[in-house]
Amino acid sequence: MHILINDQSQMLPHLTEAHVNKWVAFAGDYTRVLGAADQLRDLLKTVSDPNAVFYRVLPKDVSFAP
Amino acid sequence: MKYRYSGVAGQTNIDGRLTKRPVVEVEISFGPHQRKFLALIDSGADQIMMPAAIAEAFEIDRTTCVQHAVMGVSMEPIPGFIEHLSFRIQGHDEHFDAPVVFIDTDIPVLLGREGFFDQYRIKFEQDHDTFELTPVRRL
Repeated sequence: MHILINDQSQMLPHLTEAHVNKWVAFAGDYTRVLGAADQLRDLLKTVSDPNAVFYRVLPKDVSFAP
Repeated sequence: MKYRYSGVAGQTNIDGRLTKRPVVEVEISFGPHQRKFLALIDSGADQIMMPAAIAEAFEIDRTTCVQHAVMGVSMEPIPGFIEHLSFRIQGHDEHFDAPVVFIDTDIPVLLGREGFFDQYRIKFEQDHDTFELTPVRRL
């Protein structure tokens, strides 16, 4: 069985220029951004919602090759 | 299970198209601690890698962990340490344990070959903007 999930849009939602190069925490249903910080350490301390989903928004205008 | 590649508005390729990456939601746990992340599937990473901030949040004592250096495209070794965590991928019921290399860099969570590609057959279909994760059946 093939199910497409996260298929409402290919864009991660609610991200703005202010979130670039930061860590963000989405609500578990991706309806809003709960918080953002330069350092993941700080965001993990301030966002206690167990359903929050953390994501590193990479910088613009650079290629990422870990 | 199939997933779509994900993009962030304003992040574009050299040719101007949206940069889309194979990102999947993953629930990560260690003892009583549990958090969710959007993780990048990275066939070029030898192991699963995460920022050390996650280890700190999970109360992992790095001084008791096996030390393990990491080298990226800069070709400079970065000190790291290893602990085993539990994982569950969005849309899948099964959990699996895997070693994680933690480093003091704010990298995204990277799902590398050891521990992740061992657990899932991964079919990238970038031309369709999708990828598929199928649990590997073990005898």
